[in-house]
Amino acid sequence: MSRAPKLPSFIASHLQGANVPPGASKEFCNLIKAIGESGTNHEETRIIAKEAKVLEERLRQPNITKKQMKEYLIRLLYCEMLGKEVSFGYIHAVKFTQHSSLLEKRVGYLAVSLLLHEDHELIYLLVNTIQRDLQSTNIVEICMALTVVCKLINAEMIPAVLQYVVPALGHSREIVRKKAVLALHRFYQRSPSSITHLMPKIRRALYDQDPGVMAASLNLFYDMIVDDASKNKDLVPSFVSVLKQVVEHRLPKDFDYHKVPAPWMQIKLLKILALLGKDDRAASESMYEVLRDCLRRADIQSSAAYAVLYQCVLTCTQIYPSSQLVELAAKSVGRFLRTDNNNLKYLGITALASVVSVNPSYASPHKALVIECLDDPDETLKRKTLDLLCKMTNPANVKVIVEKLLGYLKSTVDTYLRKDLVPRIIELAERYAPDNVWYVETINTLFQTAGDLVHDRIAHNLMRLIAEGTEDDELDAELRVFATESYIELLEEPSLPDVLVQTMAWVVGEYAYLAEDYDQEIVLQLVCDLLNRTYDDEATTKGWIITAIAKLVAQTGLFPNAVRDQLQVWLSSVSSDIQQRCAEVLALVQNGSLMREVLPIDASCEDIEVDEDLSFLDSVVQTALQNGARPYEAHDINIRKEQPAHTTESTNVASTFNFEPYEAPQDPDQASSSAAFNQSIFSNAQADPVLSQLPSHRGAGDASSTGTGRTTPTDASSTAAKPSAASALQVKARRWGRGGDLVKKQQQQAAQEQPSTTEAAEGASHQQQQQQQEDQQQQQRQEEEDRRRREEEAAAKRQAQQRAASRPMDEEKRQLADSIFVSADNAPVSPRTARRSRAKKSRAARGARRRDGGASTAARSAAPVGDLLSLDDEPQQQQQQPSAGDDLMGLDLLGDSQPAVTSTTTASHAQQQDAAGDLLGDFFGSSTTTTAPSATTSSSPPPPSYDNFMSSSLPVSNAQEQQQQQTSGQDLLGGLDDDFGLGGLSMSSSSSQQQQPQYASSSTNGGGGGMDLLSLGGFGESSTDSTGGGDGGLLMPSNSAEATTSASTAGGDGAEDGIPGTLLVKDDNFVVSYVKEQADDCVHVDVHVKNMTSHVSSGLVTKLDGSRGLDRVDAHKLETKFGMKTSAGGSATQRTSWIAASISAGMSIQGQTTYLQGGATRTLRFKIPLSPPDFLRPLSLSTEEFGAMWQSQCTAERAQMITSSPVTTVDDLSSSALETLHLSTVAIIGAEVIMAGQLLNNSDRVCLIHWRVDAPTLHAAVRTKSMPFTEAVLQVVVSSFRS
Amino acid sequence: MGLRFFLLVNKQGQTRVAQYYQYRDVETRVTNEAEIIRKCLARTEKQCSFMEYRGFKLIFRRYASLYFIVGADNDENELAILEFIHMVVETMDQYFEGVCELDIMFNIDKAHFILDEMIANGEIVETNKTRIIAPIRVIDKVDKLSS
Repeated sequence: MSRAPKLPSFIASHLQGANVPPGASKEFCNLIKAIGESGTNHEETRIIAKEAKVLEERLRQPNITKKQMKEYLIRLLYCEMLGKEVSFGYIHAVKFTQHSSLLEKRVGYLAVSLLLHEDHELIYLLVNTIQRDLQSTNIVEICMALTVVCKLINAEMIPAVLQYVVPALGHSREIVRKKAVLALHRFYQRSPSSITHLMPKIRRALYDQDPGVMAASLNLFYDMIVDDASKNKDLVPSFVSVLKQVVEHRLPKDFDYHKVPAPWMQIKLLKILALLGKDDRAASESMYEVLRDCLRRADIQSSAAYAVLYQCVLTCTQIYPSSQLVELAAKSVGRFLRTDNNNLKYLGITALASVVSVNPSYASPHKALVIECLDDPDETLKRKTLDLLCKMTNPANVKVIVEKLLGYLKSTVDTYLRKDLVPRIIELAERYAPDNVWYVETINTLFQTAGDLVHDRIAHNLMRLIAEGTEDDELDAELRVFATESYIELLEEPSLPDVLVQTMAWVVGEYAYLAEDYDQEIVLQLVCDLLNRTYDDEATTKGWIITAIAKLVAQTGLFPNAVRDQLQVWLSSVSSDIQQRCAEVLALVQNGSLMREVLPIDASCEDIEVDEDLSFLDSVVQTALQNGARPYEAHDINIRKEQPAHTTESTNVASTFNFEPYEAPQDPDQASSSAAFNQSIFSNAQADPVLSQLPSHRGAGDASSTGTGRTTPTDASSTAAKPSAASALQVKARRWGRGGDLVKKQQQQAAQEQPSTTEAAEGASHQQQQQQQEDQQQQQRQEEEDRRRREEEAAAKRQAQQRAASRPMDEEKRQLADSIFVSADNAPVSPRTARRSRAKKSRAARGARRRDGGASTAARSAAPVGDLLSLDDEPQQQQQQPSAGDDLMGLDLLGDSQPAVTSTTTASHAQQQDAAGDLLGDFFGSSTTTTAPSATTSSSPPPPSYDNFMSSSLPVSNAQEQQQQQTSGQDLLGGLDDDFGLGGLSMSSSSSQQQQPQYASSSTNGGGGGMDLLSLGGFGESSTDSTGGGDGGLLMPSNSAEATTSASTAGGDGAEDGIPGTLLVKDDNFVVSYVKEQADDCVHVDVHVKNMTSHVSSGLVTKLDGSRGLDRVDAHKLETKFGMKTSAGGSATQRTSWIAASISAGMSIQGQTTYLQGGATRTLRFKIPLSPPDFLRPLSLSTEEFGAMWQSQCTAERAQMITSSPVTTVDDLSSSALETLHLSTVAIIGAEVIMAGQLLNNSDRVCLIHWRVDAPTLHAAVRTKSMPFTEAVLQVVVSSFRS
Repeated sequence: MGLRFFLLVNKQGQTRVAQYYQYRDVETRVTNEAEIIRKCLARTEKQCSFMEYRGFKLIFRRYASLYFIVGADNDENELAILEFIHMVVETMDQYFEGVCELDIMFNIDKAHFILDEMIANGEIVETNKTRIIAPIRVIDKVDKLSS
């Protein structure tokens, strides 16, 4: 880049090819030049500082032109970018946004978005401008405003702006819609609740015709799914479909990037699918295909394709796995690993880690490559490989892996990395340690390298391990010796982290005797030397050390002067804890045997019995009292020892004030009375809830404060004060008062009698005091030691429990990978079985939970998926018909005595009967073109028709999607080919009728009269196998009077010929017709046969078979054949009564009438159609009942919109529904009507319909407990109410 | 979340364009940028274009003397971002009809406009070159007409 000489800008630019902006001032150019030429940082800073000053000056001038201001702002941006804050300029930036010129406004917005931040006070000034711009008619301004919203709006301002953003969501220009969605995303990020009411619109954005808008919504959905996947599970099919379309190159060409279609969109979708499919088998299964496809297509040699491939592999391994997919994924991973490109190797390693989490065996083929990566000089790659190894650890390879990790830990100084490695090492060590010795070693190394990052509880666990050991004594001993010796070695190390020192001190203190090779005295000395060092946590660590010293002294009986001196020094430490410990040791040392008692060897795991009452002192106290010693006075609280704030749960900490009045003062000369006095005081004090309480000595649960042994008293759970009696005996039996005065008293008395264990008792009370203090101390020390031990143990136990509880967190990974290095079979069994079994249990529990979780999520998602699937099934079935022309599923063919035709089955035999065929051919002629290419068997998700207020159902068929994509004019039928492909999604054809469910377009097929055949609700022709409400157009309400048969002639109303009821079939000799009569509990069907001949009928037999789901309930229900006799010109009737066990769309009674004529048997076949309304009876419900049923029981729903319906008012609707459907109206609310009906008299089988009248459109949603029922009813509804 | 920042820094460590998607004050920014460019400069061709940095990731690519550096959260697809960087360069190339560092320096506002179109809320939102450049051209045209 050559430097520009000083030439006028246009020449300069011409010479250099740089696009110097026209109108750039000389100053500006100079600035840029200067910055560009500055060699050092220092110089740059100088330039910028100068510039800032200049700008400050300039900005103070009045009358700055817009052009100038624009330039100043850009220069301000430079200043800030290069490190100089220029807050004087902010307000100018804000003001500049108010200009009307586009570029200026844009620059203003840019400046504020770079200079300010969302919590800046000046933002408030901006909001107004933004609001104005959001309402502008100029699209560019709206876009600018929306862009700024995405950068600067914080949660507080959302309400102010949201109202203007919402209309932008529906703007006609896609760029505005896209930016509006982005603005919503921002709102969501700042305050998720602010846009929950906009969910429908957001979902609509996902289905927006413009891929840009759709892509924008993906980001928002991703965030929402991260927060809560379950709410969006129903969108899985949609995402799958979108991904499919992208992958299949259905987007316009300009979305391609180097031959890969919209890679970033694919990646986002893959991420979303990974989240949605996680642990959810049903959802995952719906994704397998598109993932396979994606994997396959991304198999080209382009970086973008690799990126997609990588993401796809990740997704395949994160969802509920399909072994096939995972295998494909693993293959791809192999490809990544084998390249030379480090970036790809890096991705390969990450992907391998993911694959390994599903199936560990996939790692072995790549052993060599992985090892190579491990030693690669490229640090990033190394770290990723370590990650992989961590995932693949098992008992066989754990040593090596941990060694590597430790090596890494030692060599790095990056704090983030260290923080990352330490827990990993710990986890691996604990989980897979082959033996205890190795574990101890590893933890030691860890302590040494990164002790400051290691949590205390690790140390406690270690100690516990050493202390408790396992059942194998020999191993334990070995471990202890090993540990002790290694620690003794370490004693001389210069720098030791706290936690290590604590551990060492403890171990050495406990087990030094085991280390026979070492001179105990020296050990003692070394430990003592530790005191001289400084630690992060002085009190704690030194406390440990001192206790260790005490133990060593006890065990060895040595007390070198050096040690004594040390202790004396620390006796005056700032920390009272240290003081106390030192004092204790010094005191205990006086009595070797006592010390040994107090600090027994290897008794850390034993419980300590504490005689809380100090009953052994009772006799002493008694004697003392008898000798005139003063009983304990609790009148002042001993503050020598700090009191912890605890009280036990059982006692209440009412008030610290004694509200009981003192007794009247008595003559103090009377000893007894004084004694009594004292006692009474004492007893009052005892009565005082506080004084009689003994604060719990149990320190905090945090074992690290074990060292800070608070003294005092034993458990507070002891008995309350005894009522006062003059007996001094009472005193001794009383508990420790606060501050231990009672004991002191006892000591005082005791000491008077008994020779003290220290020096000989002296007369001076002062000395006695001292001694008593010491004795007391000694007692207390003893207690304390015991207590402390117990605490340590308890704390350590607690720590272990806590750890066990938290271990589930680590084990979420549930990995046991086969080793790259060694197969897991060679692994030695870890002796730490206890831990392992606990781990196993929690793992199992978690596995169970996950399974359950999976099951429950599967169950949860099963419902909607189930619906979709069921929906899918039917159209698919029908699609598979031989596309010979029509797929009149329901085509029930006379002449084929096929039993029970239900709507979906037997559809395949769209065999046409004779005349019927022709008729049908006409009927469905136009449909032939469409049925054939029912190519889109795999459904892409339906864009839900949001006009459907029952928004839950997402009809699945591709058809609808196709419909949606087309511009309005297009007929379903023509729409099948590639239109759907590019046209649909191109932004140019923005059909505003995107949501138009093209239900009505099949009217070509529907029309025609009387094709009653179809009462079998086939999902008629529509290639588009539309969903619910199969829009076949072939549905005729069966109870319309025009029911005819397909045979012979088109029927008319039989009544014309003097025939009762509706004509079914006739020939020259007989006429068969039927009458339906609806009773409350059944439907009566009377079949009439009229004899048209001139002689008596012979062999006239009528056979009737109900279709599936229909049952006879009349007296002769077991008979299907009925003989009839008719005289010439006469007729006979056979009545049968029917109920429907299950309603489906195509119910009918098939029959035939045979008779003999001229020696031959003639047959007349017919079919009596039955439709759901035949079986429905009105049901009166209250609105609440309706609501309850709607929500909970009737979950099978179908909804339909009938686009032109003759019924235009709610009243019309009510009455016609009653008439045609036999449903009674529950309530009418505005333009909505709810109706209910029941199946015959079975009030458990209800049918609920919710209508919305929106003339001339009618929306209907039908709900029953079973889908076939619902569908059947809906078909009838549609056909009845369509004009 | 997603992306944290998008930087253009030259070999001497001078920042040419900086867009942050999480607010950082000026000093922090400058020090971080210096550290980041040092790390990038230390990398050889053969090594990964990705780095771990302070608990998140850096993805960078060198074009002539300019380093394009993106900071991203740990769950992002690194290669995708690398390709995105390339897409940014291609877009700028198309807009500026052959982009060079000076172009960017003189037209820093346009460079920002382009990035604003492509990244929003810390996420990649638009990768269709035509769509990215279109609004900016409109503004240019209007500006030219008015002046």
